[in-house]
Amino acid sequence: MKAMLYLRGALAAIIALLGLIAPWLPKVRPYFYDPHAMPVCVDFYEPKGLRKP
Amino acid sequence: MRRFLRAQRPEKALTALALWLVALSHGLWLQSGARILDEAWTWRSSTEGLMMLADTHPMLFGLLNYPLIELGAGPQTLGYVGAALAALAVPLVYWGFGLLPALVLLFSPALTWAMGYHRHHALALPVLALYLLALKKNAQTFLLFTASLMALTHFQTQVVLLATLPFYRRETLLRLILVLGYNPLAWWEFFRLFALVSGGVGVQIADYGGFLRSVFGSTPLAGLVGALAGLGAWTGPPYVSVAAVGLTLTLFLAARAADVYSAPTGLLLAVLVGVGLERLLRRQRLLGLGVMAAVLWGLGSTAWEKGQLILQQREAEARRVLEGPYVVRPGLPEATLLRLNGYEGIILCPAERLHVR
Repeated sequence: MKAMLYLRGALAAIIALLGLIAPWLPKVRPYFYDPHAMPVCVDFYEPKGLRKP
Repeated sequence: MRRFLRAQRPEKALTALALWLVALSHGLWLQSGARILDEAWTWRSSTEGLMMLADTHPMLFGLLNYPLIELGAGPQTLGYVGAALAALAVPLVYWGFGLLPALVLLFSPALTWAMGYHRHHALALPVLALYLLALKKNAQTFLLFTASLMALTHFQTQVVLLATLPFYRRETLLRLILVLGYNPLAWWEFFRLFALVSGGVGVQIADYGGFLRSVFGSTPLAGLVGALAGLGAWTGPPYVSVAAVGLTLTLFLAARAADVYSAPTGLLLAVLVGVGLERLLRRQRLLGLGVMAAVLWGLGSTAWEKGQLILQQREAEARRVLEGPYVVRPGLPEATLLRLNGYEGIILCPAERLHVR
């Protein structure tokens, strides 16, 4: 029973801590928001003379 | 299950229906934007129905989509259907845990992500809600059915299933092994998982801040949301908090943390926050009401912000395709697949496959 109490306490503490740090963690922008923001590699298409974006 | 349904009062059913309609209207709005190469999975799942069954993701999503695609549904229709399914999570949470958790879920960014993008983990939301309902009601057959759904929906639901197994009674656990063992779809999942683990697949995304901000909200009120969820974890059902922490830990360790992946964790947190709120309201009515307003504001403003982000991204993408310069060449069905696998070159897309509304 005591182990369950410790488990509950630990879980509650972890969750509260995660919420506390959430707004202050660094901002990352995953590529899937804007695939066009990625560095574009055009040489694969160059031999065909296609227009670069 | 039948006994459970018969025990429900009609006003409860009406409230559930109203909650679903509110969530649904939000979802339809999120899905109503321009649709040109907007969201790779929606686009891909509507053009390559059979391919989706052999995808790296579990197959339930592909199985649900396939008949719709055969009937000629495009990304728009699939998006609407997905939003309607994801919105079901709200009445299901209401059924299992009461009005406050359902309200918190309705305001949470988790629901916005799930309804805004028609993806595998969007389907995870209603399945997870159904599973939590089954765990709460402790009805064995219902639990076994939802556990099978969990095994077939998404990697995240599989992790939750694994994390909650210690809460099963011994005979239920044995029956679950039989139910999964005799299910050919579960075997397919096992082989797929084995191939994935041995092959090492996918793009690692480590946006821990984005993930946590989508779960707790991006305002400084996130600390309050966390504290309330902590209160919920202290007093509420332990399987929900174990699942929430286990899932977060797995996603962090596997470097699969990004805000779009946060929906299932957000649902678990919404349940905890709702339970904590109920507790607080029973003890301190006035303080509880103030905290409730603050929490709904913190989560709701983040959800609004994320909804705007989804719509803006779609529109920007549509404008880019329409205005060019886009190099267009017929016959490159794997364009989205390339993008999703980190291909950084130009995407050449046949004009007839662009779904212009």
